Amino acid sequence: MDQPVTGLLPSVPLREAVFIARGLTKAYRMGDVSVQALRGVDLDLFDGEFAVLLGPSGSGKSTLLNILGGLDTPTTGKVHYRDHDLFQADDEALTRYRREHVGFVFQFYNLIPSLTARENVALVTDIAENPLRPEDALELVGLSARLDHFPAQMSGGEQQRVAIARAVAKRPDVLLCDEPTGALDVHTGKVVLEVLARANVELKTTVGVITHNAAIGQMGDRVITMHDGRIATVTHNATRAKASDISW
Amino acid sequence: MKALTRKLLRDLVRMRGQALAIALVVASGVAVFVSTMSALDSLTASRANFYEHHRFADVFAQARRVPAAVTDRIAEIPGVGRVMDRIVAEVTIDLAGIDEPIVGRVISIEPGKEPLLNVPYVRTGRLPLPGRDDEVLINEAFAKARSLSLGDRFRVLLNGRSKELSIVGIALSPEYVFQVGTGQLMPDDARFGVIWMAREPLSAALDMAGVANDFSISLSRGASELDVMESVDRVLSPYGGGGAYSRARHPSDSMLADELRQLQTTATLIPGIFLAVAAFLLNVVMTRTVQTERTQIATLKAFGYTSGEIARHYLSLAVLLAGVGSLLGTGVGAALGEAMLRLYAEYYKFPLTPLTITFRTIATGAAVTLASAAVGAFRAVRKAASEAPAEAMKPEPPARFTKSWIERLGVGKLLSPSGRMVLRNIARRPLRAALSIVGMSLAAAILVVGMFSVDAFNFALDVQFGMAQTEDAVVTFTQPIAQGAGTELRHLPGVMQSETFRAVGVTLRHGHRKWRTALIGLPTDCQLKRLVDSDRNVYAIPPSGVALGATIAGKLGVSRGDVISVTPMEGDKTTRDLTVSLIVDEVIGGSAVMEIGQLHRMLGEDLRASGAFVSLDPAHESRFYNRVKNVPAVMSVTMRRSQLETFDKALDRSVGVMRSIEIILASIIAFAVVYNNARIALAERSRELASLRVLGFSRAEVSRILLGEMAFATLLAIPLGLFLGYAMAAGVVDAYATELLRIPLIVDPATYATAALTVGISALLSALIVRRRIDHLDLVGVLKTRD
Ligand SMILES: Nc1ncnc2c1ncn2[C@@H]1O[C@H](COP(=O)(O)OP(=O)(O)OP(=O)(O)O)[C@@H](O)[C@H]1O
Ligand SMILES: [Mg+2]
Repeated sequence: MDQPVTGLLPSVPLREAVFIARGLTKAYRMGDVSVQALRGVDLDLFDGEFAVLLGPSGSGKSTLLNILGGLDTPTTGKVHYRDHDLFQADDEALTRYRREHVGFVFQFYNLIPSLTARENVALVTDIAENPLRPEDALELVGLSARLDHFPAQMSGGEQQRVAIARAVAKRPDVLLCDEPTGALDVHTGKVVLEVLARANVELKTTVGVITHNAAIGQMGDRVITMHDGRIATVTHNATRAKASDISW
Repeated sequence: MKALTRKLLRDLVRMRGQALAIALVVASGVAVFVSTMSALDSLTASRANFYEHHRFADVFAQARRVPAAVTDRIAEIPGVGRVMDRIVAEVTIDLAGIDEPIVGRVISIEPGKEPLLNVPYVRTGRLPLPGRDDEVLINEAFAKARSLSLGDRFRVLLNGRSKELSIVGIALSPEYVFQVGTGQLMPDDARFGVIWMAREPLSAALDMAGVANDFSISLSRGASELDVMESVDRVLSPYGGGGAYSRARHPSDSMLADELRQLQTTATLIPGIFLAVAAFLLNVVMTRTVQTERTQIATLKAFGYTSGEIARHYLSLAVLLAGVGSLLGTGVGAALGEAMLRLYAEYYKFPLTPLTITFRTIATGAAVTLASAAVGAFRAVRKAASEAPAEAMKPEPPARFTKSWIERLGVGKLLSPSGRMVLRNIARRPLRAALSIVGMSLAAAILVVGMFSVDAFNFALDVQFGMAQTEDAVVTFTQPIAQGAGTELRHLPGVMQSETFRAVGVTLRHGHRKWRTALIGLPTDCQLKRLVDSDRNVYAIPPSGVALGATIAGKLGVSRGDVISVTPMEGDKTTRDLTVSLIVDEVIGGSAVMEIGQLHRMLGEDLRASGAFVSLDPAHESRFYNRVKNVPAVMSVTMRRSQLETFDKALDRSVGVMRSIEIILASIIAFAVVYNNARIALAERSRELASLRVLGFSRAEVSRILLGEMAFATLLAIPLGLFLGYAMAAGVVDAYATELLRIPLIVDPATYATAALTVGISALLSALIVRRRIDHLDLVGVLKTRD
């Protein structure tokens, strides 16, 4: 992943850094053993950029994303989102931060089983300032025909698309996605990536995507690889590939 | 509608079985509370109304022959409002076609004038008119029980002379809301008649012109009841008086007060139990719900839902259940209250105001219900609110299993693989297992409590009438007569055995405590009346000192060997000291008994008898009754058979309706608890069970794991519950004890068996439902989604 292969979109010029993380460590204590998930991460994410996070399993990608999203706090280090200090913030402040700024797509979809696709999206739009209509959000991911299906009545990929619609629907400032295409075939994977790219371009959303699929890196402004709890490499793409143009 | 609200409703629909069970338990508690409270409110209001409008007196006193001038002296006592003097006499009523003698009480009234106090409430007819000497008013209960109506005539034996009377009115009276005749323990409508008769013919018949023997006194505002009673005693003492008593000791009012107090106990105790169970169920259900929805909660939080919103979400689930139950319960309670009041209308002899369901009752019921729901849900809600949002990113970690200690003992080898799984599951969540066991045992316990009172009552009757009181009739004389004359009773037809006794009203004192009662003198070898305790031990009458029932001993705070002072109300009234030589834990009544010779000596009299116990030849019973009611010296005859009947009736009344309601309610609880347990176990384990099925386990094998756990819990819960029930019954016995009656703590094996069986059957039914659900487990669906 050193060179962008195809480039049709110009890469976003680097603007102000919205996320600033310095010396982040995260240790999980499990009884007597402590697992060091992050071992000193320094990272900036810039306003409106599309960042792709790569790395082997267990390297700390999800942990980092959790901290950026205000789901978790680092053990040591500093982390800011604009004027929010995410390290010092208490539970209430983090909740407000997530509510006002962040959209999540989880590795395990995390749909509410007792709610339909439409209602799962509404769950988030109910508490958002200026959201999309749930129906429109679902249309973006090509699920207009599935509005009233419960999670148990949908395939894994469909569930994942609902999860993405749910994250996009609130028009978040930051969209953090943990393997959003993990369960999808090539075609629907591209549909989903397209949605993320549109949110990034049209709504100026800052996007962070974790993936095991190196090809997706072509879509990003930057590709960040992690290894063993640290940032290993950061690559700038001169141009960004369209989702429809990449192949895997 | 908000998506979160929708989730709430869907969750409710999904757990509708459990939700219904909880709502029913709540509803049961609220129904009992609302109905009993409302009935209580109505009865209390009715009593207050009736007492006020019919001027029920505050202080009562009896004496022998008191000249009219003395009444004025009583009126002058500071604190006395009004005084009414009357002639009251015990008579035997002789109804045409009825052999058995009936106890009657004749009360004088001034014809044409409304009495100052204790005004009879004439329901039909009118008061006797001046100059019509045979006109009388009788009490409604007696009239109904004996089908007497206006214009009917009947005879009474007045001072040895038979007199025919004519009924011109039928009435209620604040003095006889409960009409308990002399020698009766319970109200007996058919065998006790109250007769209001013009004073002049009554005093003529009794040879009591210008004198009175009964005083009713009302107090002026702020007066001291005690001071007035003491002054009245002083004034009446030369005339054989001296036993003034307040409403609290008035037979009718004290019985009414007892009834209302018991109702109050019911209104708090039973709903208390139900709401505690509901809180417990909610706790279990909510804890489990929050547990399985951990990732959902974390997801909501990740999206920015606040802890407060999450807490509110889960709390509303609990509140909704409680609210629905409360609403349902209030509705049912209103209907039940009406039914109860109709029942009481038969039983309480006063005009009842309509059922008053106050806002306070409803609000209290709802508030207590919601509070208990909140308490039940508290732990779960707090856990939900404090769930970390990062949990949303992780799959649920696999549960940690270890070999249980039971297995380490080597038992495991004896078990099949599914047996081992059962064991490990219980060992993994010992607290949860313990909770379900506690829940089911509570169900069994409540059943025991609901049913034991019948056992206890039957036992009490058995001991009282099978051992303590074996006479067929008690004959009371108009006044103490020579003992020799008393023995003459033996010559009446049908009498097989006759034993005379002496009874005298006394005040017992110990320290500053005092108690008024009748002191009974009995021969040491008395056969027909014996001292029996609740373990069926029979005690001989002690040759010296006094034997006290445990209730009286308790009132006086004495134990065996203590010395009490005794002041008789007749004879030479000097106070003497007596040693308490025996305390008997009687089942019914508060006896004070001593050897009859000692009593004579204490009273400084020759051998005299107040009455006699007789046993009868059943073949000649009616001949005996026909003769005895015409014996002038006989004031009243009380039959054991009729006492038993009234007890049975009283039992029927409480058992017939309240008991069966309680048992139904207890069964609801039993089923609700057991069913809930089963459903929760199923929900918690459906993933695991589905996985096993996918691995190739058969339905039967999979069911065995879950049902094995249930069976294990049930088998432990039943004995624990029976024990718990016994303990709770002991508490109920204390709560319901009255002066006269203390329900013994007796639980029949049949009651235990029924309780065990009910829980067992509930468990079996639940198991069947669970089994069916396991059979229909949607393998793919269960495994596809995370909870
Ligand atoms: N709650 C936790 N308790 C203990 N250890 C944890 C916890 N969460 C993560 N870890 C450990 O921290 C390390 C980093 O985990 P993380 O989930 O960030 O990896 P990842 O890069 O997202 O991996 P994957 O690509 O497999 O999702 C791993 O070794 C993991 O075992
Ligand atoms: Mg991960």
